Amino acid sequence: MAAFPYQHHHPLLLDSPYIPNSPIKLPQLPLQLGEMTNASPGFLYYSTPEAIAEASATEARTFESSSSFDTAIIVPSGDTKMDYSSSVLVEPHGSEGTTKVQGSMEKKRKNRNGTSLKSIQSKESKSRRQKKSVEDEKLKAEEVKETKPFEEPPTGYIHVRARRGQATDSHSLAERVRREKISERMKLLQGLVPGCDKITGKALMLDEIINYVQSLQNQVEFLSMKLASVSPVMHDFAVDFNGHVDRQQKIEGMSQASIPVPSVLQRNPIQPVAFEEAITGDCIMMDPSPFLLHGRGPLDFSQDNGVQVDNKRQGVLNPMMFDDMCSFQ
Amino acid sequence: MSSRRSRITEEEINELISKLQSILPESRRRGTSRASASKLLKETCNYIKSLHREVDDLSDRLSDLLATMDTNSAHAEIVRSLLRS
Repeated sequence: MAAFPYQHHHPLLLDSPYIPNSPIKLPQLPLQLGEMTNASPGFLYYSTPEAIAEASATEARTFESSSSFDTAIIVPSGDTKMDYSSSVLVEPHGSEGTTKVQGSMEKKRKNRNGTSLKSIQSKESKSRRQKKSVEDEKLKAEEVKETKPFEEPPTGYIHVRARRGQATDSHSLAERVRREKISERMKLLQGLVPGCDKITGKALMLDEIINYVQSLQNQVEFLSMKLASVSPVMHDFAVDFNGHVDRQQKIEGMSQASIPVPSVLQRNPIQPVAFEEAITGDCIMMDPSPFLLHGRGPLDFSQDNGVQVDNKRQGVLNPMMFDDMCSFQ
Repeated sequence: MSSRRSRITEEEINELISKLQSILPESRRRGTSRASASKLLKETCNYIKSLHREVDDLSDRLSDLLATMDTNSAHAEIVRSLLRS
């Protein structure tokens, strides 16, 4: 019944124009009615024969997820790029924003009684929700915003549909969209930060992320210092370690996962030089911290050193120990 | 209603977010008006990726340096130990 312009339509929640080049993994329903895993009446999609016919032209993606989905996705014809709605309309008002698709959806929905509307979780983890408010029955052939733009993101509005039983005022909708954005980003981060898979909960995740970023920063700093020091640098500095201790403590406190050595290097801008000396010299006591770099013999630092050398640290460590202490996490 | 949220208060989360904002390079520059959480998270994502690249780059350079050094020198030994970790 509906003259649906079969175009890719993804009234997903997007914050910025998002044009996925890869085939959209949205639960593409229309075609395979029969294939719907979820046979619940919750599916709304164009079940009209023409829709199916049309849809078959496009890459028909079977709806894989088992959740029922209530919003029809207009399958675009063939080559259109999946354009995730860029146009995100916060639509408390429904009609225009939700394309006719919705209008038709509504119809279908009405046809199947008691469809439970659930939000669909697309693989992109964007959820589409059915607008609770009754859409106009009018199948606007407008399709306007949502469907039309293939390449370019229309306006920048966010399409949101309220779930059944949820508040539909514009504030909660907007809030929900915002929350979804945030949780999606958190998921991305979860993938980036190692070891975050098991952590649930925003606060713990954020904590973990912060630690990881700090340790990465340390690592970078360390490596660059290393690089600077290893490249031949000929200086003749007397390094003064006095009064660097407290900074050292602070750095140590930061995160145990960070590289111990950088803390040494950080304490003094001319550290690298000192390090260089250390390398060429035979014995170095770099640091009054538990991280000992190196020691081959009696301490023979630059004369001026105020390094507090603990007795325990006077132990000679061979370079191999350095390896143990430096654990890049 | 789950009581989970009460255990980890909204405030703690906000605090964490500000902390995150403070360690991101971008936000430090522009005085610290509180950016939206989602933007922060996105920046964090990009920042982590760029840090990864940097670490890789530095490691590559170190290993190149090692390749050109006399492998018996003390220099080489240290660089090697660095790369091993």
